[in-house]
Amino acid sequence: MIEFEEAAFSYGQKAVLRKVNLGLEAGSFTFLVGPSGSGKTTLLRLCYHDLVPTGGTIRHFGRQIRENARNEIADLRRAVGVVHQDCSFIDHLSLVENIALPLQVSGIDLAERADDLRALLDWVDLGNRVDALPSEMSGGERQRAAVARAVILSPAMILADEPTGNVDWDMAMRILSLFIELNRMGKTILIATHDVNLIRAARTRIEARVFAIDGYRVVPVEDAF
Amino acid sequence: MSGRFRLRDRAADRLVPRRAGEQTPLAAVTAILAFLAALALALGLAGGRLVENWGGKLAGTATLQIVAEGAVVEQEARAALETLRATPGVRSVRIVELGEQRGLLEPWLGTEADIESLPLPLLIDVGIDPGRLNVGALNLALAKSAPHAVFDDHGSLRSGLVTAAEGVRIFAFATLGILAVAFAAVYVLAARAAALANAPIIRTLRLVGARDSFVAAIFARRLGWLALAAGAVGTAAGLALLSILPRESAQGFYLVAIGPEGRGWLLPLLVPVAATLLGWAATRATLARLLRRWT
Repeated sequence: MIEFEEAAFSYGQKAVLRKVNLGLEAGSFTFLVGPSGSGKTTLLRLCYHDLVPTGGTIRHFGRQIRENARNEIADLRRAVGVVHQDCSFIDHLSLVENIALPLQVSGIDLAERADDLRALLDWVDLGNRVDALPSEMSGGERQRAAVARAVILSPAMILADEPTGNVDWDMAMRILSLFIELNRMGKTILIATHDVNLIRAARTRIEARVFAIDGYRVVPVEDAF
Repeated sequence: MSGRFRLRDRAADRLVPRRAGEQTPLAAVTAILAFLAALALALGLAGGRLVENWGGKLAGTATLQIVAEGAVVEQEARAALETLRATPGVRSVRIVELGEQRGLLEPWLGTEADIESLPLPLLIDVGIDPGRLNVGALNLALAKSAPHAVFDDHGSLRSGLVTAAEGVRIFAFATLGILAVAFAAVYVLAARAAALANAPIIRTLRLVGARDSFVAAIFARRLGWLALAAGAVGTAAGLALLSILPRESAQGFYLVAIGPEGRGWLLPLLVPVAATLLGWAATRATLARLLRRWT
């Protein structure tokens, strides 16, 4: 689904990733671990073409991302749901409007998808918070809303950047359950986290691969959890 | 789908918030530019009418004067009239009576002047067809029949006036062009400022899969409608000013009123339409360029 081949990325002279070789297969569940500033977010941003590799190649669905035209980048982002670390909500829009953004920018009539939207809100347990503004929502509510927005277009792959970073353990487990449920529906999941307990909890329920960023490279971690 | 052109898309337009007073300066500048454009357009149209008057109507008239005294005047007048009537390209001839000459001189000399005591020449108003009249041949014929006659087809005066009128027209349309460039530049700056002020929202829209055309259309619609509304206000103010200017020139067709005439009043209505298209296009192009730079 996504393949990194000797991929590298630098911010100017500062190297962040070097010679990254990584393949995410359809239906897989993968964790990416590493300390803050190690390059987890950078790798995720490369996955949804927010950044362009400075070396090597990255293929999405078999196609090199450098070959993507502007509209194809937008189409790629509709095919990859992303849960951002800061949730990236629009402050003056209500929760339901924020969740429906991918539908709206895709030109899909919201009225036609009202039932799906309601079902999605119930799935993330936010059915009674539709009119809340982002500033009125708790950390857990924001993260669940971000998950809902990431899956609303039913993408084949979901990327999450520290999705449990600002919530307590119970909420982290609820959010993890959402990802596990999505994976069981056949979605490919990649979660960047520094929370080893979250990974341990996940591996008691599903088969998940773990990769770590170590010295600019991505290496598999077999038995540490 | 998302890039489809829409005049209104309330749901999409809501994605970028409106902040109180944010667009007031842009609306004011737009109205002022539209006001000036309406005046420049009216001036250009007036210049066109001057060219038409001086180049067309004046070209169809000529004057013959006989500068002599006593019986010679009458004798040469008769001969000149015969020569003129026999000349191809002369449509009409008419002796300008003394009363009429007095009327022509009064604006310059006043009503108290003793005009009868002045050595006035005998004037003949000649209607001509400039395309058919051979002025050289006529002058030769007049030299024989009426040696004191001087024929003037107003050529030197006319060419100077037409050049001046064309200068007015060129100046007016050049001003319109400069105003259009200034207008586009203002909208480029406004679009850039709006995009920068809403950069986090644009980023979110891009991250959830919005195409550049979708994002650009939000800003282009907003600034396009503003250009239409403010442009209409400015144009209306310009037309109001033109409507209170004198309609008839005291100098007949030599000068014309600056305000539009007849259907000419409809032309300034194009100013807000042009403002809308220009504002919309400048905004869209600016956003497209910015978004390409923002990944």
